[in-house]
Amino acid sequence: MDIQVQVRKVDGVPLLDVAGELDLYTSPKLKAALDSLLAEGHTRLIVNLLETTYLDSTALSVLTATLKQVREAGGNLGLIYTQPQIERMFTITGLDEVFPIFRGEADAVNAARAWGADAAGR
Amino acid sequence: MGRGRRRALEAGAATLLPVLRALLGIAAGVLLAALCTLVIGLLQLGYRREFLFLYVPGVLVVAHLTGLLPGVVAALGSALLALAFLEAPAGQVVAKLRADLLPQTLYVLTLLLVAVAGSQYRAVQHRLHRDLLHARRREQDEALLVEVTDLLMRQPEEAVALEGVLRRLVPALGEAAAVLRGEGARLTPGAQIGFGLFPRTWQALTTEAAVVEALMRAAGPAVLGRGSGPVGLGEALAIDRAALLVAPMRFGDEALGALVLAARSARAFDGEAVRAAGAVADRLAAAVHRRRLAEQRRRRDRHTQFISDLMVEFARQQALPALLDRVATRCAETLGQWCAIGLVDAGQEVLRFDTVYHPQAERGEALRRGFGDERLSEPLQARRILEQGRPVVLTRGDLRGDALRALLDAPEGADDDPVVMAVPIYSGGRPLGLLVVGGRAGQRWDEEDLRLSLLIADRAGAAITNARLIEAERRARARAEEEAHRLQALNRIIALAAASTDLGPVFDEFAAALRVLVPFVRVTVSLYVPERDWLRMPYFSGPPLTAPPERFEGPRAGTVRGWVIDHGRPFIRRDTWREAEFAEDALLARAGIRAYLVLPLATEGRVIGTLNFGHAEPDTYTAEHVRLAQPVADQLAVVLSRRQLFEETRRLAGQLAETLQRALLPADLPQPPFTAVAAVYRPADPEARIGGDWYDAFLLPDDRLLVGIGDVAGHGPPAAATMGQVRHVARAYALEGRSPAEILRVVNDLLYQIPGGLHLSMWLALVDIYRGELVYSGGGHPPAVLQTNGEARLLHSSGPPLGIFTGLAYTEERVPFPPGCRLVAYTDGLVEATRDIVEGERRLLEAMAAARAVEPGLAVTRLVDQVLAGGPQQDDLALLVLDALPPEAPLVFTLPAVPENLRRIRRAVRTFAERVGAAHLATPMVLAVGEAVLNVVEHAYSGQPGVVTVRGEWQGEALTVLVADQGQWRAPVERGRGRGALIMRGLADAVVTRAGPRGTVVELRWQVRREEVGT
Repeated sequence: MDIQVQVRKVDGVPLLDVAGELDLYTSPKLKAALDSLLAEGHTRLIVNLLETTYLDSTALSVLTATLKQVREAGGNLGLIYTQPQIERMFTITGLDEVFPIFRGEADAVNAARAWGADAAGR
Repeated sequence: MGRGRRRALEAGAATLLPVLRALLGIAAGVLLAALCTLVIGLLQLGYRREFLFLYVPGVLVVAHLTGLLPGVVAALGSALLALAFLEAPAGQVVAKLRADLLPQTLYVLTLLLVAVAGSQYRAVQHRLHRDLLHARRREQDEALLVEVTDLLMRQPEEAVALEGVLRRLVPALGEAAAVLRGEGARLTPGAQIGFGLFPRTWQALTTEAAVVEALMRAAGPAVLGRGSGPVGLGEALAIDRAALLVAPMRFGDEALGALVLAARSARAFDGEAVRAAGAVADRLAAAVHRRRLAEQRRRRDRHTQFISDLMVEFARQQALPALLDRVATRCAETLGQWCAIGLVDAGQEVLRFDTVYHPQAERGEALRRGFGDERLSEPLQARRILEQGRPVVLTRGDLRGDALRALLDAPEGADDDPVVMAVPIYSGGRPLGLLVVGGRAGQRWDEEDLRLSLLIADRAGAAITNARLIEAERRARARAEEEAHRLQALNRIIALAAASTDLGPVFDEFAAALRVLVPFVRVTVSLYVPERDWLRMPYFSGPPLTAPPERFEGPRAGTVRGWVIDHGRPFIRRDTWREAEFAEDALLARAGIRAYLVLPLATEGRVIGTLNFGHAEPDTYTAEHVRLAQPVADQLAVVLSRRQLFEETRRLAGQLAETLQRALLPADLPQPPFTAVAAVYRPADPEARIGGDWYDAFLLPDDRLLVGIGDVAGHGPPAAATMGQVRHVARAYALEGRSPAEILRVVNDLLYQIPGGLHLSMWLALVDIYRGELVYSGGGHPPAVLQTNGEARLLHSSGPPLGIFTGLAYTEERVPFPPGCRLVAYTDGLVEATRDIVEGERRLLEAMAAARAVEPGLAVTRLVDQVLAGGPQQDDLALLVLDALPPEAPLVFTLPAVPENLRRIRRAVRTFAERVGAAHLATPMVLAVGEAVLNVVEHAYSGQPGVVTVRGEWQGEALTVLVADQGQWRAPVERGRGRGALIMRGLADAVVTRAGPRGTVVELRWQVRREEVGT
């Protein structure tokens, strides 16, 4: 699988670094990681797409599904990307209006602090 | 003077004469006495006793001349006269006489004695004379007898001998002589001489029954004449005034005939004559008897010879009709005129006269017809004769019916003439038939003939029985031969059926052989297909039944064949015009097949079909045909079921082979992007469909293509299985990232370990189409050929075949494989076809050059054909052609529509965009095509495997990418998935979706201004 999903915590906020291509084949890995974080009770998530070279509608579905879940829990899912093709994808699909988009990690983490407190506390 | 009177006179004279003579004598005596007395008286001699002696000479003379009585008279008379006249007066005579009685008496006695002596002297003289005569006669007779005997002995011809004898007898013994031959109860005239003098006597002799009878019964020679012999006979014979001397010719008790002498006077036949005649008759009898004996002996010898000749002929003639012909002919020749033989037929009811012989053909024909319609055997009373068991001679009077009489050769004749002799033929105490001989005119059959006929009948009986036995044996042998012939035909049929792998081509021959056993116009074989309850008709021979020919294939229900299959028993239809209960009956009846026989083809408890015979004649088939043909059907069933099994096995084997082959040889080679691959595999044995060659093209996850080709030593499933293992090992190690050399090393070690020592040659390459290079290695394999623009380079590999040595390290080489190159890999079966590898390789390179421009799919076939044109294929061959498509070639590839391939497709699209100089479009193209492909992967095949085809090319000023699938399109209704369309529309200039029942094509289009096109 041409993807790597690594989870790290920054200030208590889980941050998933996705490196590689996110398609039908590889998105389940992301989904699995997100699901496990959700199961742990995190509601504030950040997905770092800066190393993502490809993203298709499957990935978008995964992200939107997670977004919905965390939003219902009072949380949020932020995305970090700068690549034009990724931007293009979110723009065409209008999802750039839906997800909080950040250009860098620092911004994302800062914004995530403001999101609703998660069940995990902290 | 008339005869009667003369006879009377003669008769009278015959009695008077002696009386006259006596009186004359007395008178002479008296005269003499008187004379003497006178003389004495004259001489005055006086009476003296002694003067009586003077009378002596006179008395002597008288007695001598005239006999005793006159002599005595003369003596006494002389004495008396002397006494009377010479002596004394009368009165004194007595006294004188008394006084000289004694001397007187003495003197008288002396005279008397002299008389007696005189007469006796005469008598003696007579007797002496007679004795002399007799002696002379006897001498003559002896001489005669000797002559006669001599004649009879010397003269072979009886008739001549008899005539000679008779000539001697006439006139010695009589004036006419004849020999009458006794034939049974009759006397027939033999030779005769002189009976012309006594014609009526002769007639009486030969025709008067009383005469014949008398002659036959005569005890000894006798004189027959008037007054003598049996009453009346003399009368009958005295017609000609003949006296007959008849001497019977007797030998022992047998009356052989009679010798008859005739004379005008019976006096000719004195005792001597009678004796002589008797003696001659004895001689004649002896001679006749001798001749007869000899004749009999000769006849017997002839008959014995005849019999033995007949036996020889019997031995030669085995066939009954010919045998009977010979018997009839020989019997006719020997025993009579014609012969017919009738045999009792089997039912013992009828006597059939099939054999008739007559020297004259048309009479024979008439006889044949007469016997043929049994007009003759009835009057012949054949059955009665047969039952009596003894030969019978039938006379003319015995034959009732004009038919038979008319056929006799001598229609006229006495009723008691024997005409037909019938001899029953027996064998082993049973009556076989009747031998009927028709006699010649005047034929008489004697004991000898009857004896011969019995012998013939006896021998014939044995011969007929023998011939019949031989005939029966021959028939039995013929039957056995016919059975053997049939068995042979049967075996031939069965061998034919068993030997043929397919009964079809030999079925006509099979049918021809079947004809020996069973008659038919049409013969067919029906096979039952249980899965469909169906009847097939794979084999048939004979004219088709209808036009167009129907093959009676169809459902089993309601058919006679179905009935036979259900019941496992044969079925005979006698006439389809009269009986119709099965589906085929009407059709067969219309087609002219009236009788049919359906036999079950049963083997191992199953009935797999039927063997069907049809004939145009009704009531053709019987249980006998079933008996003859069922073994054929049984064997045929075995053969067909074996064949079915064989075909089933073959089908399974073929399926297996196909399965194996499919498993071993990729039917569909991957068509990765920028690559065109084609391969062909031809096993040496097309039947096997599987061999020891192998090729593979396997797309690795990193888009490198594993390409390999190999050749196992050997053929068939074991070789293929080995290649299958090798393939999987190669793939596995390639997936692990090992290089070709390493893969070979591993495979080599693996093979080395396998017991059985299979070894193979192999050539392997990893083709990196994106990098434009390939790495290859090989062992014991001909070099692949790399065609670049205008030149062909052989990619040699060192290294021995795999599996022979262990622990080998193979080498590999990396070569560029830029777009526009062609790689051709093959097994040596291709180039060894010409038996000259160098020549083969040359032809290959030539062919490759010629096929350079042709796409791989066509190229493989052309290459093989062109190389194999140099010689026939000897070994399995495989050929693989891999093209690195030139940059301007459209992007065409087909991949399985699975998630793993999304990445590949993206890479390909990106590379394509870059290749065609639309790099700036790469990203949107990738994204858009990615979405399109995603749709296919997710929705096109409902979970079933399928492929997605991507085709990217320039179309005018637009770059189009088509994404096509073959699935049933489902509308993307899932939430979130609609995004795909959104994305596509957002990223491409145009999106056109064409959906159909056979698939969907999504066309993405980007307008590209030429100025934007970079290099």
